[in-house]
Amino acid sequence: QEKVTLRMVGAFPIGPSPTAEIGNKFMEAVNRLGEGKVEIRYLGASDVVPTFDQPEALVNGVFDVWYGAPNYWAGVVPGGDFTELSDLKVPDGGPGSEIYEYLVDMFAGKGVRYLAHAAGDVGVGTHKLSTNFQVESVEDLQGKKIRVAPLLRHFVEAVGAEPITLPPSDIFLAIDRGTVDGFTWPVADGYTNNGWEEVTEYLVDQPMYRSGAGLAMNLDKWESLSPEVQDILTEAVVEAQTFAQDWFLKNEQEQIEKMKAAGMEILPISEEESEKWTEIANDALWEYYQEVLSEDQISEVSRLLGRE
Amino acid sequence: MQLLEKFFTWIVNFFAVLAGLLLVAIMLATVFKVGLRGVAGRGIIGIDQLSGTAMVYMTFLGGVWVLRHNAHVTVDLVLSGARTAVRRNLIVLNSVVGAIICFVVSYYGFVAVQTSLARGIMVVQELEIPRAIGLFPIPVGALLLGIEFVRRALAAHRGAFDDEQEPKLEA
Amino acid sequence: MEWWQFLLAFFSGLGILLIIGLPVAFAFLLVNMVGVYFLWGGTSGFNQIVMSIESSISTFVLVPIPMFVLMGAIMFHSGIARKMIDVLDHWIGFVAGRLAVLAITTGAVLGALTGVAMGSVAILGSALLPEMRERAYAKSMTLGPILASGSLAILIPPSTLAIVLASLGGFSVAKILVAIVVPGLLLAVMYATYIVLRCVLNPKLAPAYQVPQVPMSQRLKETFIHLIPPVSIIVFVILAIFYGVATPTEAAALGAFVTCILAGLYGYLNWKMMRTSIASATSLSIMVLIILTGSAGFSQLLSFAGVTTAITNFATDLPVHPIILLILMQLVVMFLGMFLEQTSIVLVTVPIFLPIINALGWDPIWFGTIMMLNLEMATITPPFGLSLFVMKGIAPPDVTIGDIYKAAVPFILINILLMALMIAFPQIVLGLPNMMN
Ligand code: NA
Ligand code: NA
Repeated sequence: QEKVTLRMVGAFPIGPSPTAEIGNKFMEAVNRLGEGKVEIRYLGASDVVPTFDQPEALVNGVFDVWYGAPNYWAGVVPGGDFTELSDLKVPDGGPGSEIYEYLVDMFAGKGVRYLAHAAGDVGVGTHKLSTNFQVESVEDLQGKKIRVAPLLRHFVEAVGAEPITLPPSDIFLAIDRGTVDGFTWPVADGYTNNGWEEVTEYLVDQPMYRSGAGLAMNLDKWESLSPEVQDILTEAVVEAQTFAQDWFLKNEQEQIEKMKAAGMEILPISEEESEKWTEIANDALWEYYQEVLSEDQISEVSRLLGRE
Repeated sequence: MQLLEKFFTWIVNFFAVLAGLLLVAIMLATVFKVGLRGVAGRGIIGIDQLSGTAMVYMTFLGGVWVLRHNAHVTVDLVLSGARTAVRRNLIVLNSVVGAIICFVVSYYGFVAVQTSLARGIMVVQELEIPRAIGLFPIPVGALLLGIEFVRRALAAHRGAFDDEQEPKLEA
Repeated sequence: MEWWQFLLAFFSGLGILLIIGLPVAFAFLLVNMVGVYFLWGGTSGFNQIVMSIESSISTFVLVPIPMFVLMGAIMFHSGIARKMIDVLDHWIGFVAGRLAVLAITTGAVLGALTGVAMGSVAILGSALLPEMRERAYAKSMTLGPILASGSLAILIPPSTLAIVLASLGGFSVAKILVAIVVPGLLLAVMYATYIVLRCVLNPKLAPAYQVPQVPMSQRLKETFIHLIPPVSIIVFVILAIFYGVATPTEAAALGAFVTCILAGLYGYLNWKMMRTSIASATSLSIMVLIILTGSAGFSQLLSFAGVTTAITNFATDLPVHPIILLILMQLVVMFLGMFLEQTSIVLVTVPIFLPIINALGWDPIWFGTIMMLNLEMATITPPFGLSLFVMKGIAPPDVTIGDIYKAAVPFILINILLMALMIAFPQIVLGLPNMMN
């Protein structure tokens, strides 16, 4: 049988972005395990297809394999990022697990073959809030101007902060000059590459959601592959998910060391306040999922996530 | 035929006014947001995202009016030096090419809107709005642009093409 | 197809369409469609083209462009700009090419702090260009300085592009923001010197005329009435951004709004003036935005076909002396800058350049700053530069694209001269950031 070449595009460029390393590791694993049978070729990131058009481009078959943030699927597969609220070590439980197979079905309905949500352990490599004001509890966020990422907008609104939209490249100037009082970012994802540690005082030590990376494929392409090649890809998914665990931990630790060295202070949140924070954050996102998922889906997802 | 011509001109001008109003609306909405933040200590979410969508509407609905006044940017290296007859033929040629592109974009634009609606694609930023809403002005604008290109080709063919006009709002 | 075949096909296709006089936006669109047809498998890729058109302009990041255009249009059509320049003439009428120098200075400050090159060209083009023409400035002396002023936008901090560059390359954002200060100012000074010299040597370029002797008391009075208020608006926009009161998008909208109010206070506000201003601002915004819908897709297709990466790899694989390699790398950026948009160039080239920079032990801040200067030129290098197109849109019909290309050339040469100086004397770049430690 002839060798299959799959074209991969990602949300972030391989090399500079630690999250993109998940895509890179997946590609390396496929190319190693699939020698002579299947090969992934990396085409580029947002210079090839604009980041937020990538999910649809994957569905349209412009390219075959995709990596990026799980919640970039929100517009195409509503609620397809519900593993942001998972408390399993591997957010989707890995290939073969109940959650994983549920996601495969859910994405298949939209022309996508779900491959993975790869993240650090629970609480590792997640979104964290950076501020230029003291924070002890969620109440301190009220009335503050916070730069939002789409995933965090429900939380920011729920705590009565004012959401401000800015592209990541404008965060540096905005936080430096007080256009915003804070912003959220998955710390492991190259925080200090952006120089934010030089203009930000505090990192609030309170993890939110799971973050990490998502992997997906065009469904028609997947179905055209031989079972043998499909197995190779699945094996590579497991490798990427395993790799992610240590990778995000290592990156987060490195980033925090650099942030401390630049004079940033890590603000601890008391256990009681932390529980409250997590509850508010999770409820805000869950409320959103309730809006976008059907009743059947909600009850099933609720069961899978262990929410009553 | 003349009635049709009049009707099309009315459409072109109507959309031009709409485009102008959108520009003003973007300004006022943004000022309102900043003002509200100053007064109430809290802005409104979604203005930035809607401004972006408004720019797509402004561009594609007003595009035909800009074309009618011959104000789209052209690299006139050859055109400006050419003799009248050559010039006229070139305008017929580029108008025909322009019309074809616009009709093709319009057709696939409508297909894209339909596909987007069928798949239920949403734009998830500050607000969650169907992608189709943002795409919609593209096929509409391209259709109008296509028709205008055809008019241009015919006018140039008749030798009645005047390409030194200033865009004005005529309503 | 090989990458160079793509390159040839893309550029010759585009070239032919432009030469027969098809508007730029539609020429890009056609080439993109043909490219997509072959690269993305037939007509199914057209769906993606429509989406790329939408996402290229449906972003608030671009809102400052129409807002600054509106602000400039109101300043011009209400007569605020003319009064302002009259006052200025009473003070410094004797300076050769003063309006051109004024363009550079205002552009440097305005564009610099907002970081939107096209916005700066748009506002100066609509407010200042007509006045310069009225005062019989030569074409090259009206177009060139305004183009050059806009290109300063990304060079004087804050600069979003510098931040993108630093975060991709993984070097200090703060340092590169500091490092571009000296070259940025130096460039502004070189531009201004060139203008004054040219105008002194050839007074016909910017005719000096007998400025009526105005008594000091009147000069002061008119300064307070006609110069300080509009200048304050520009200062207000800048301070709003600088002190973080508003994002650049918000500040631009505020600026346009306050300009309307000022026109009202002067008693210039009437239905006809507003209608003319809005019409010209709408038309100009549309012609700029519609080009963006095509040029973004063009960059993406070149990347998709692997052309951009191939060119970069080709140059960096040549076995040459490090300094030659440095110059080659800058030539690649310059070449890409003729056709592509700046962020795409950074995204593609930096990951390839970075290992080389590290291997040769160059200071990435030095390299990055030279690259910034190079990228800054991209908006004004023919044949494709968005500032060139904006200028074509604003300028009266008798100004051809050829005039605009010609007017840009001296400023491009000055830019290249400064790059050469930065390569020869790294301390121009590194002096300031090294003091930070
Ligand atoms: Na700037
Ligand atoms: Na250029």
